[in-house]
Amino acid sequence: MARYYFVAMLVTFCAHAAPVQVKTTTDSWNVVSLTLTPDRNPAHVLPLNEIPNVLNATVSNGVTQFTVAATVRITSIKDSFVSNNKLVAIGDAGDASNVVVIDLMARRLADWFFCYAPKHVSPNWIVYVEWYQGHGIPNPNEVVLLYDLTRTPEENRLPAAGKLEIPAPIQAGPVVVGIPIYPESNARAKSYRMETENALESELILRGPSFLFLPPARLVFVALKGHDALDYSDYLVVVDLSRGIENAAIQTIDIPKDQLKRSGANPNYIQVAAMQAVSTDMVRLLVPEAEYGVSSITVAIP
Amino acid sequence: MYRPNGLGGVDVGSVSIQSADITQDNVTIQLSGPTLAGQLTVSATGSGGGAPIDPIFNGNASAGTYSYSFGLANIPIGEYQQITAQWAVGNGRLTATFPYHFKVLGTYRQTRYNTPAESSCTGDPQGVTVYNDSCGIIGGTMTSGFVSRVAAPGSGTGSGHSNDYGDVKEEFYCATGPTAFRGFQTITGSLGTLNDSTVAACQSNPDLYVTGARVFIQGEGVKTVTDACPACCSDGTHLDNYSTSTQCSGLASLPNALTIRLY
Repeated sequence: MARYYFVAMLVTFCAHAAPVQVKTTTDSWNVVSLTLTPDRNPAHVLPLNEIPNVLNATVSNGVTQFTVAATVRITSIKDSFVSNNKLVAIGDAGDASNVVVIDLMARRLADWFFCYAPKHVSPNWIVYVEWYQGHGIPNPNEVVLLYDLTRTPEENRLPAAGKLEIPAPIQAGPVVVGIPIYPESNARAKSYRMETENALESELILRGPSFLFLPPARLVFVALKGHDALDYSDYLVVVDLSRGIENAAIQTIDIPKDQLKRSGANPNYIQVAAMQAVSTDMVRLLVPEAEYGVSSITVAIP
Repeated sequence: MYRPNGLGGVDVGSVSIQSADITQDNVTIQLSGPTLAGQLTVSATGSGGGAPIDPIFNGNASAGTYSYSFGLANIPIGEYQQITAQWAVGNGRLTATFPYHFKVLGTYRQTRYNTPAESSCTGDPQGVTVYNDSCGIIGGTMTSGFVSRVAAPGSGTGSGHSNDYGDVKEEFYCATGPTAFRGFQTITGSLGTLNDSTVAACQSNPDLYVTGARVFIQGEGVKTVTDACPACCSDGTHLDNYSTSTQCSGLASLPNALTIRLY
């Protein structure tokens, strides 16, 4: 399935100037409609008197068609798909992103959580950055989490997540959901901790290039370190999950600056706007031509 | 003093750019030469006169001092390095350049955040965990509305003035979760102090997330980037403006506005 998914992505890249997400499911479910309407139920009023939404999803498998409704925090839907008899909606919720998982067999909300930059990277995986309140955090150390749709919601939590009810009550703010796959310290320690006391260890995940999946089970993204944009340095991170989500093998790769015609304002901080798969072992990084004299560079992925 | 090309060095006039200030939307040009009149072209450009080009003025002018607008409603996005004025008089052309560096970033969403006071929040007492700098637990209980305002994903401020634990920040090191706080903290941004003239920007923004970076926000004035805003990374064109108001809720966003990095 992973190879099929990757081939589909390549076809899409060739057919369009800009990559678009391919909808691939492991099920025969078709999403007929997906709507959001305000939930006026007084019992669902959020803290500070905010109003949640009702997500109404109508799905069909050709034999059966039904509508399932769930109270959610999503305010706008950016992506949706079905995998493993689960309907997933990804969208915005205030200043955060939000992921909702609906169990189509049970016809009920199965899970939901806040995060940053969620992306449906493969048929069964959603990858995202753990949510944190960024104001005033001197040394954030962003954690990349993976939600596996073949697992139960409980199996998508570490013991460190505590015993918060699943799915969380609508008034709650679940953020420690998923399996840490990066940084290596979090993956090994099975920790959600996203702040470090050492400024040199502070690391951010670049949102523009997002996460790219390469078969058989590698995840590629761009990370950076530094105090501010004048002294940042960025690099590619390759997380190989072929030995399992809990056994991530991590490599970092320098971005090849020799392909640039100009070095940019900070030669160590390459402004990567987007990332595309060229092959199973190569990615293309799109960069601002006005800054670097070229519009893209390619990087071999081990 | 500038001389028209090919006039044998005879002083017949001059053009000078006396000042340029995009925060005041003003470029002041002085033309001298009592009998002269001709086509005046004023523009802001990139390095060496290249793109981007903002055509500030193009029309006939005689001697005098003039103020022109940058035309902010239509100014192209891009990095500008200089102002150029050319005055075509007689058979020659008087030219003046004025180094002036700014970068038009485009129209940005302008949200606001603050450090609310627990005393301004309502709600019942809620159990929370308050840590000190050694990760020791020192409390406690806080008003539920305050807990939500500070710590709620999607709408939390990250810090607040508590009733019992001084200034508090949401805790991410000792523990993670919407009811974990660190007490007796100094409220500050990741790059500097916070006040009504500071903003938070996406940390990966190469133009804005720079210590001491100043931005002109049309309609708001000049502010300094002193804090990080991870939420601003999702849409890219987003600043979070700090307010010293301590109200618990209802801090409305500012209008979307043209945002310009000043150098």
